[in-house]
Amino acid sequence: MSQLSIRNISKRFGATAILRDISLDVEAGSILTLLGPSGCGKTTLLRIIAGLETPDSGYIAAGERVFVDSDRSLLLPPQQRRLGFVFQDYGLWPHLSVADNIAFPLKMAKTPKAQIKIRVAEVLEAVRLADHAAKLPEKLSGGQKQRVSIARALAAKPALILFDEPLSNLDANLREELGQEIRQLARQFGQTCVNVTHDRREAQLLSDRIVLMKDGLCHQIGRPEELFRAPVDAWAARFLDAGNILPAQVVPGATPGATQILIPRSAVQLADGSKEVAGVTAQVLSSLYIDDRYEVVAEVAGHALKLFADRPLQPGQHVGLQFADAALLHFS
Amino acid sequence: MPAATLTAGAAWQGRSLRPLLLALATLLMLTLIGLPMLAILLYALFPQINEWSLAAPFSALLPNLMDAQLIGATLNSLSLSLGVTLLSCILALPLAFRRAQMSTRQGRLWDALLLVPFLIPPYIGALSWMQLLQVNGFSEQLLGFNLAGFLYSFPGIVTVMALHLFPMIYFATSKAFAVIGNRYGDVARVFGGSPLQIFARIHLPMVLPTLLSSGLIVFVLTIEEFGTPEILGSRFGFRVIVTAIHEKFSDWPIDLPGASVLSLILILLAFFAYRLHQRLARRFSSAVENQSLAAPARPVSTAQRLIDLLLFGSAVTLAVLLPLLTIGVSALLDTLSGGLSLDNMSLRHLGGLFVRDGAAWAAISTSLTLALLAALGSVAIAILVAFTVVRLRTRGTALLDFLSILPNAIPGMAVAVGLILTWNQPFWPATPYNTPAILLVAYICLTLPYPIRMLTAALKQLPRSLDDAAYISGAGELRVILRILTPLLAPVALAAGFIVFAIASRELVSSLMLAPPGVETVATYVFHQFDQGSINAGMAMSLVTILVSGSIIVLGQRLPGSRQPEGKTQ
Repeated sequence: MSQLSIRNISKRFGATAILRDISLDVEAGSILTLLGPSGCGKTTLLRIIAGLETPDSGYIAAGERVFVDSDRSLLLPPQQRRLGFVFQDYGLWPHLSVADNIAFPLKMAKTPKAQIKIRVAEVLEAVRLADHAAKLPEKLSGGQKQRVSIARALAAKPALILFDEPLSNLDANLREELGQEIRQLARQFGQTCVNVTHDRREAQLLSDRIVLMKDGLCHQIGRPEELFRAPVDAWAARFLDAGNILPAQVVPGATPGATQILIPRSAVQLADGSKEVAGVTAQVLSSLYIDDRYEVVAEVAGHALKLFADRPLQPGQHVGLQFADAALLHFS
Repeated sequence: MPAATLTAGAAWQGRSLRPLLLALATLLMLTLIGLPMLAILLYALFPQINEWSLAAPFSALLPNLMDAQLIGATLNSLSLSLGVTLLSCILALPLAFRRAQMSTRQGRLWDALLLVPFLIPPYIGALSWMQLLQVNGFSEQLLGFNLAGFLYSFPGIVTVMALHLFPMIYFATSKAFAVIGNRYGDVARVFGGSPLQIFARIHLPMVLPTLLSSGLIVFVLTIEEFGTPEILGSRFGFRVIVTAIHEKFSDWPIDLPGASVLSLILILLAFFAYRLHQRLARRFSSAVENQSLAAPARPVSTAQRLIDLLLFGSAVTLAVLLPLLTIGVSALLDTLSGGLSLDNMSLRHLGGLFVRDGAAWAAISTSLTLALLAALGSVAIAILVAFTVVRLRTRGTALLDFLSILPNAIPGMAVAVGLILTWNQPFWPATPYNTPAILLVAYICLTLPYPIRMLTAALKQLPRSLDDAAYISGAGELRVILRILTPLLAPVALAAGFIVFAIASRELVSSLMLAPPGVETVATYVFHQFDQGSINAGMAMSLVTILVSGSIIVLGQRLPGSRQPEGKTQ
């Protein structure tokens, strides 16, 4: 069942088209991520879903509730859409306590006082901030502030929660941890979410499905592993950092007609020298021990190539490389 | 699928207040500021507009523009303003330069003292100089000489006004000297510059934009000042634009087209000076932004310290001590004829202010009530306008933006004329004219730029996500304004309210022009007491005014939300 339907949404700012005829569906209880470089229109689309921007034309509905329908000149203001929103800069009201911040959407929905109290305690518990209810936001760390923001978005049980780069203000360790937490909360509450980011790792952390956007269009849609294993073209492969991209002529056995070949890092192996297999010779540029393996950068016919190795290599050393043919992608 | 286009705003379903808020803000600003300005313009162009006739267009313009009196008044206004600006610069520059070399503690003391002239309304300052220097004034009684000849002359007016206004330039310029720091001077010294050369070739050119831009503020304040030219200038037939307008209204037959032509000239002069000031101020702030402040204070020699003491001491004596002492002593004298003697001291006049049912007490309570209402009204309108201009940013906000900066450059006299021309018309079903409400309208109109500037700046600092989060939580525009933004802006709003209160509680020109018969404010009371020769009663009221508005301003500046607002003080 689709929880959010977007049909033919278009938006121009002056002469530039920001969104061109976008159509998307988000399934109930799933997390969809809009991923793309800055200027691709992902944030505008999110703000249009929220009602903070007005599209030029199109249709948006959450379940039975129609947000936008240009055919009927219908446009619901944001305060009537019953959504949750998690902002990059948290958007917490500095004059209200943590509990009052979270209670605000419930008050707006005219929830009885006793129920507000119960629900606030519930979501505070869920984001592990029960002890901080009376504090002002300024007393909290960045990660805590973002968890309050998430609790506020969850509080009124909205049909949909929108995340605008929720992790990008946090440092790397916290990012991973909070990303996991958001996924887990979304699953726990069966919450449908739309997330926006320019960071592929954030997208990997936080998505059931990813929409890769470019120049106001959906470039590719799929589950994270589909996107990263099979990017639709060299641009997508490069943006997703899906692996090494080499010109076809330096890769032995390339399909005729292909101009560029995607070689996933895990598809590159050091030739062990005993077997004579078709491969390439490369010169090691650097070899660093990262996580539990060696990340090696080597030069092949003037192109840098990244691979993983189980032993250290010397810069300047010549090595033979083999590619797992099945993993290679040929772009024409 | 080609879809119908959503036009912004028109397609909103349900209860969006945006168009309504924009309309309300625009309507308020148009009524308060747009209408009076329009009235002046229309009257100047179409002298019979009050009969809904566009007959004889421009018939008033040319004769008035050729009028020798008008030309004389305009030239007087210009030369007075230039003279005051020049003298203020001359007084302020050495003080500002030395201030930047001083230790923080010593500098703060002088700064505090030089803030005092802002607390003395200029008309009260002028009256105190009269008490001091006139024939048989305090100087004659104590020292045996009077300077009446000097006081009632062009150089006399220039001096009195410059002594009141030079701190404006002093504060701006000493800040600029401090920003520039000693580094550039040190560099010049290494290359063999003498102190005088360094000042003239390095420091002076660098502070010149600030000097000019604060000088232009002094120019605007002088050209719109009524009290001092009226009090001192009328004794030797010196007429400026503002006093000429006053005459047009007080001499029968009242010459409305003539007054509006004069007002138009006044507005244009003030407006251009103000725009020039803004441009210069912007340029300087961008030019020195990336300079570092670092430069240790240099030890000061004893001789230099003595010179500083002499310099600042005499400035403070002239601009602060003498006027304040004169006011204080006059307020305590029983009768003017009794002269300066201990037998003649009494608290009669001060006590008389607080007699219930007395005229003085009525004036005080009128002023305080109106000032309080003006503070509330001005701040409330400013919150609405700031929200509309900063947050809605639709097409209509450009007009609002313009209307909100307009009163910065509109002299109080022009506001008064505009309000008279607007509201003294038979076709209004109801009018504030001839009721105390017209004073409230005038005060709000005059003070609006302060809260609007302060609140707009503060609102721009608040991230937009605070509003967006509230909308998404289900709050409408009114709730966002009342429950989110107003509490967050409260400290700034309070500080702005204090400034409005201080200005409104002592405003002279529009009060004098607009107060209905039988209604006195503090300022008109002082002014009329002098006209009637009850100088000591007037001075007693002045003393209380200075103390009240002074403590309000000091209180306002200690509030967390306050920042020294750039611009005019009245």
